[in-house]
Amino acid sequence: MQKIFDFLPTPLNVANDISPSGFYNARTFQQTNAGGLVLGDYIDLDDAEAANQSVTSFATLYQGRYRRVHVSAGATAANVARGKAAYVQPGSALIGALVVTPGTGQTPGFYQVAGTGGGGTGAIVGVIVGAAGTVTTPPIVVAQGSGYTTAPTFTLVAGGTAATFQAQMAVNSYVVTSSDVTGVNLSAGRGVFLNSVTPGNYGWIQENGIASFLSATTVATSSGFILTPGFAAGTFTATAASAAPLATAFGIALDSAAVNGYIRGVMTLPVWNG
Amino acid sequence: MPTPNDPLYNEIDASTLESVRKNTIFNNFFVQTAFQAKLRAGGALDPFLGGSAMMEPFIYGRVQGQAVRPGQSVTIVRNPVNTGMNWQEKAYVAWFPYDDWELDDGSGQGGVINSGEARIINLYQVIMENSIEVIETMLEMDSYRHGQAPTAGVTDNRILNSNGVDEAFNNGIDPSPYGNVYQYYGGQLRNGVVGKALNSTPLYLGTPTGGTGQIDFNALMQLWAQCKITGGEPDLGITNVFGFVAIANALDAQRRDISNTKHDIRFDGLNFNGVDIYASPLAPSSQAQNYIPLAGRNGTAGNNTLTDGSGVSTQLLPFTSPQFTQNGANVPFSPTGSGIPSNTIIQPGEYLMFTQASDFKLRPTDKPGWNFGIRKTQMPNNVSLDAVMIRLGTNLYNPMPRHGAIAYGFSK
Repeated sequence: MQKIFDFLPTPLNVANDISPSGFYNARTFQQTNAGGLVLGDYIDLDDAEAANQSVTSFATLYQGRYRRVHVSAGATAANVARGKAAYVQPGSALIGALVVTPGTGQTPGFYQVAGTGGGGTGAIVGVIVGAAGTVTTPPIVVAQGSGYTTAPTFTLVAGGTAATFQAQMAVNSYVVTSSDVTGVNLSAGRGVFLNSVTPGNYGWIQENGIASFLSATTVATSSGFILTPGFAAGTFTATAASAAPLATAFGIALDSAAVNGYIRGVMTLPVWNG
Repeated sequence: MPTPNDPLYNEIDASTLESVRKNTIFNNFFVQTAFQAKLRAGGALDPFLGGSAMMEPFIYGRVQGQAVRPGQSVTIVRNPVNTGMNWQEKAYVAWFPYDDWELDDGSGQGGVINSGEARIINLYQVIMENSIEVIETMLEMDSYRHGQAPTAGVTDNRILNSNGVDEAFNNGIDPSPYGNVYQYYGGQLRNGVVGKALNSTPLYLGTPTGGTGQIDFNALMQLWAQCKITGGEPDLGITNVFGFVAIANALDAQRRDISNTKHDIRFDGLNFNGVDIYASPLAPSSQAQNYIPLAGRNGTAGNNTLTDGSGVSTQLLPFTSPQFTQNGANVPFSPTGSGIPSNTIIQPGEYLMFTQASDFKLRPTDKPGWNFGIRKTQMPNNVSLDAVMIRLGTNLYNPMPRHGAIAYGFSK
């Protein structure tokens, strides 16, 4: 939800809160709903407004869109840092499934199939085997399960040839993680971190506008080059723009890159939501 | 999320509240200032009743006349003798989001959290009063700066700010304590058709190499004289607390009366030659930023710096003086008598202004909505959020700047 007025518990680039609103009960640490700030809120700032919401001794923020996010507890802390790449946390729960192979010669009826693998538990789909012995309609979700880091697999064996199904996992774009996390969709960047946020806490990322990118390498006169993250550490490398467009790119450099230096770039990530 | 204590409350905390005095909160941020309070007391308040701008007519010339022989014929012509200055009303706003789940605005409809017997402080009231302090602080600081767009001699853009004394007490030749040379005042060119009519020459008390010097009785008399010679009746002096210390120390060294008289129930002052000099924490100073949060980032909260309407402050910083010329040739010092050396890095040190309070005009609008009026707008589709904006339309200027003057370049 875009907010044109909102409570900001701290400047954007030092936010590291244990609740989305910034308020929490000092005893139980549960979120206190106050001030109006909720997970997923975003604000669009011009240069002066962004500077006002920065701790400039740490870094100055620039014009663009900033979003309140939850940093997944599974993120690598060292990679949740200023100028590094943020990705959507791979879905941990099931929201649907697709038929991959419908199977043959199976006994008609309704079956519940539990997911296997993926690191989580509890995901179950309901499958109908038609009169012809095959699956003709997509399964329904009986239980979403939880804790999955990759998609579980579903296989129905009811006589004949087994039917197999492709799990569709939930995508919550307000929950982000670091580039090195297993299962992250590296072709779909979410934004850049503004500061170190303890995994499990709440902070802000920038998702469009002019951002600071942490450069992995030195590339002289790289203004106009494409900024692409290295997946191990989430730092960025500038590549000549004459190369084919990179699906994994986050933006276009505005400065020459220096190793371990922060350079400005215009973000080119897709719009995930309003 | 951290793990809560087990048990959640210990025996003491479960049975005993902390001692707290209700409805008391200590202000460790804002400061009280004298300048605008003394201007209001001096009759400077002149509400702005409407109009596209504010025009202040003034006389800058004379009709012809001379000693003659009886019977002599003279050529009778009439030259213009008057024109006007022009100012715009400036807008100041402080704002905050209002969440009626958290706060109650006095209507009794909200404040689920901050209400009832458990409420120690009315947080809505705190935020509202803070907003007023924000506007007052912006106005007070802006009153020492300027409200012009960048032009020759003026480096910073403050077109949205009120027109303060930095541009008023200038002569279009010498740099102000902030390093600007204001060739215009009230839209009127100085040193052109109107000559010196709008000029006030700064008094530089530093060394010829740009370092700070000492203020003394002679310097104070010189500043007084610069106001007096134009017909001014200087009755108000404003300096920072540290400038006040320098003045008191100088007068004490010369065995002058430095009784720190309470000329006002709230503000410290001493009298010099009919001028009540007040110590104001937000008046320009090089030292004040060491003790109150005027410059830079003072804390990680990000909002703990006292700022003017442009996000900066009255902090004085070194600047380079221009190369002065006279009759087309470079000269080592300003030809105006200010004492400012040419092309030198100037340490502005501390600051003292002598003025006649009744000369100023404070022009807040008389329209309630913009005279500390509240505009509250609901955020569409949001269950609890409103935006609250406290607004003020006003300006501050001086139609007779030659009656006042600024001294700078001294330290304690």
